[in-house]
Amino acid sequence: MTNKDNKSITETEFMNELYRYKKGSVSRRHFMQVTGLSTAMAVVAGSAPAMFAGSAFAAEDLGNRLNFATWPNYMDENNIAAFTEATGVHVNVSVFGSNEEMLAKLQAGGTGWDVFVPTNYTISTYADLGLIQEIDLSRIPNFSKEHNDPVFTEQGIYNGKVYTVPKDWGTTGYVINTAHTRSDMTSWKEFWDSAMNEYSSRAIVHDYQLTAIGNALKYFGYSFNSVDPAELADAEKLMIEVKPHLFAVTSDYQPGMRSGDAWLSMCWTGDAVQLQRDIPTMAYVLGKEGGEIWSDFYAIPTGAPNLAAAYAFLNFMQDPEVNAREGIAHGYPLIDSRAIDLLPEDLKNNPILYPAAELLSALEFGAAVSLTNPDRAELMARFKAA
Amino acid sequence: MTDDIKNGAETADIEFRGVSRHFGDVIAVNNVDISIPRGGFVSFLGPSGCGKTTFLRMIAGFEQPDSGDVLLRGESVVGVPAFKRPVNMVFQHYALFPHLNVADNIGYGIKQVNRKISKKELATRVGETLEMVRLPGFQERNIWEMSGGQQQRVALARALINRPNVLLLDEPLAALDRKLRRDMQIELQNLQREVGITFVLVTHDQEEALSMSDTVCLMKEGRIVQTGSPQDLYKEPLSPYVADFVGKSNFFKGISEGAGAVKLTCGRIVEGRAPLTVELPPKSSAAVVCVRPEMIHIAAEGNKGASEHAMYFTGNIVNRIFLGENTEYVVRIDELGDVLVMSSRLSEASTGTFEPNQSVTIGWDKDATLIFADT
Amino acid sequence: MDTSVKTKAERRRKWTTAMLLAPATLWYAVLLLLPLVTIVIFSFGERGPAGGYIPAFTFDNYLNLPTRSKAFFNTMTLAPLGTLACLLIAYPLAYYLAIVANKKYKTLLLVLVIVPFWTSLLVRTYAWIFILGGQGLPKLLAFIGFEGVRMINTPGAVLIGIIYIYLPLMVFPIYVSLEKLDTRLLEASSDLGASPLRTFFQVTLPLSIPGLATGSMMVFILLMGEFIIPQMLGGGKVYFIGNALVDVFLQSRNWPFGAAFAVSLVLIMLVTITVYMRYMSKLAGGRDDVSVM
Repeated sequence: MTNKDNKSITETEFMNELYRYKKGSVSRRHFMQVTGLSTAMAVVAGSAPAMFAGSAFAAEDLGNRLNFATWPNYMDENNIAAFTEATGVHVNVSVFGSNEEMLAKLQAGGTGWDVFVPTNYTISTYADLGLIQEIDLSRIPNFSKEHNDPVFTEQGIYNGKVYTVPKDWGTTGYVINTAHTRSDMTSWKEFWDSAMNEYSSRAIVHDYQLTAIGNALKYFGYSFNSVDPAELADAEKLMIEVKPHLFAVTSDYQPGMRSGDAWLSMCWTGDAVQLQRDIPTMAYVLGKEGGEIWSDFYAIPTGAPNLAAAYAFLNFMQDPEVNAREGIAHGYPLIDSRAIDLLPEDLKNNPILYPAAELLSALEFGAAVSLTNPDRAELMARFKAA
Repeated sequence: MTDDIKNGAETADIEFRGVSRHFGDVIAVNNVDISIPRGGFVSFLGPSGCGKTTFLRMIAGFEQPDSGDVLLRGESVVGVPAFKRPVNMVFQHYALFPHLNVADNIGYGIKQVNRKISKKELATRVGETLEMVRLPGFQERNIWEMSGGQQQRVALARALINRPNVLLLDEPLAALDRKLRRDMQIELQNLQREVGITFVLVTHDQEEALSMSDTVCLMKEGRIVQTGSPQDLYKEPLSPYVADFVGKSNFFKGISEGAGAVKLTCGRIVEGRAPLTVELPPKSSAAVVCVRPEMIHIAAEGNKGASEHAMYFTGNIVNRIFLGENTEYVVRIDELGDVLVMSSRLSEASTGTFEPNQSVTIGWDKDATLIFADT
Repeated sequence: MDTSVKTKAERRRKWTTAMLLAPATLWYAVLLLLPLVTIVIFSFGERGPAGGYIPAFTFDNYLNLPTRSKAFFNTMTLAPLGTLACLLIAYPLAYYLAIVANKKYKTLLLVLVIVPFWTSLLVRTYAWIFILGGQGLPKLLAFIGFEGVRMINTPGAVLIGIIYIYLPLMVFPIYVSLEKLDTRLLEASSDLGASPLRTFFQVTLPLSIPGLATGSMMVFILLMGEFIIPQMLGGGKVYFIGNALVDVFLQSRNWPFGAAFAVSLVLIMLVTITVYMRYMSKLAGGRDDVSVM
């Protein structure tokens, strides 16, 4: 966002600039999670009232306010401004670092959120706890079922009810710096083996139970989501063995990779894109044994105070042009093929964003139970304390 | 000019040769020459800011002179730090170590010079020193449990235990009440005779200086203006400044008539004398007449007594201050203004006391009148 | 008659005292005792199936603590070491500020000590990630001939972070105690024959022990609960009790185990601080007029 009036920068603008600056180096999941802090930031959207209301919004009174909870660096500010311009609804954005934190807030109640962005494996938990409401797709005319891959949209459907509209998706693989490593790595087995041998003190494992354990399970060919005690025991043995050889256990792996201290790291799609854009020797590997595929959604919490505005917002975001701009801003692969068509060629043809189909077919969506299973949580804690 | 006190320089404990010390633009000590003989009790007296403390601190080694030489027992100590000098100091407000008890405070000095001293010997020395300052058995006391007078004694003991050549005392009695101060004055004198070393006292309190020391050096603006016995300073002040600072004085201005007479501004001529070593102001020059209040006789008007003196005036009492052994009167005289008169109880036995507004006659003798040039 | 008046006045005075103390008492009860009691009760409970707490009476949580011995070991070595390092660096700095520095610049220098507090701890620690990373100091060291030095994600990096973040906390209490030190005591010591070095150890140091103890306690207590610095500069490899607490409470959602952790941490602190205070007040000359905290 630019400072149009050339006035001194406001605090909010400063915060936004700070996040922008960090964009290249801080993973979305990490920053807030590590700190336990959550900074609410209000977006100074175009303050002029709408000169004319868009035809789609003319029918009902939307109010003038919308509370939106999302991840850091996960939207295009211009889209938000355009939404305000078109509807007169001002958007308050809160930023969160983990699904756990969002869940805790909603469970505590009184968030006042109208729209938020959960990840696939949390939807069933939210639905079971009655924290999110069913979506009336008829109020989102911009959403096109046939242009959205059911592989993803099904993750937002629970017990036959639609609870979400799709946002984007991604994978969890690992990034290697081929300036230091061999470039023919293809599997999780190679990741773990090299981490405790030739690349000792050069590898990074996520400080996130779901992926750290999931990818260790993949070493043995077990399911990413396994909660089987024997399989988890194998994974633990591997992880404890590797631990002393690791460069770090952290979800903030970009600084280590960029400085050249670390040569390989578990990695999410968006980080891989950013790393490769700046350092061409970076390569992204999806383990051939499989691994995680995930998707994020828009959902409406139960009791959202500005329901009409929430639907207007979801509809606005499903507009292919708006969606494409979002994709360019956050760098994650999109789901709606109409929006993908509008993306620049280099994004569309980037194999990190849109990997080959055979690699994708081996991937698994994280399961709700993997996240809540106490044995996995304990395992992770033992790994970290080792 | 060197102020040699008593004997020559060979037996001097402390000698200053042309010593000056500046603090920025302020001259604290200005070209001072002095020699302090061994075994005396010398006081440096003056108002605050006269340089007396800087003088003391140069002996102790906390200050170094900008120019000139400081000698202790004949050896130059310029540049020698305090901890290597054979002098010890009793600080204003004592500066006792609050984290140490009495015995450790007193033993501190020994432990610095003799690190291998046995516990037994240390305890003996501390005990002896405590006896000397009359605080036997106080070894284990904490400093903050002691009264001001007791702290004073601990400070003395601490400074004396190393048997210094010179003991420096910086306003040592200032924090004590009047009664205690009197007692300590006597004790300090006795102590000095007992240990036989040189005591150098710095004070702004003339009574303290006069009562304890053999020699008083009166300081003004970084210089020593008069050195002498307390009696000399009191009886033969060399300037109105000394007369004013040491004891109380009445000053009357006039013009010298020559030959020991001064014509006061009121027209009356008074006779007097110059202090012993000072010349009378030449005829027709400005002069100041000084009369000590206790040398003035006071009597009820019309009564004989006061008017028998060479000089006498009549006036009214405007104020009376009862001081116990003495009574101070302020008498308003038309020709002179307000005159301070001190009347002892003994003389009051014959004259009786006077009430404010009472008319009285005051008078004094020629011998009691000192004449100075008015500069 | 007289006595009844007296008791009445006394009663009123007591009532006033009670009223004045009430807010503080309430504060302590609600904010200190209540959570403490809750944590102690929780520590004997069991984890619920979806996390949280189920009432029970078991020592399992305490028996499980040795599995995290690394966290205790790291904290119990790096917290005292960090405190000591802060102390050794802060003391000369505080000494300079309080005794040596020109009065004209004193305020400016003091402000400079606080300046780092004006930016977020996170941003400052992030800066250290880059300074200690491969493109930072190690590169500089390689340039002058020390190849392959690893700094980031080591206990040493955590120690550097600790010193950087906690130094001001140590400087100020020491500064205050040195500032009010009567310089005539130093002169007295010198006058009695003590060299400057001996004066420092016999007078300056003992008299600054209250500040030194306060600073050390503040730094030590905060370090015992520290988790951001080890997380960020230790790369998850230098694991503190604080990190274990965060993981157990937030990731595992195993409240009873976390509570057992917290209780043991409180106990360790109580013992350490008691021993420390005893020792310090002895060093300070056993003066009861000097508060060591």
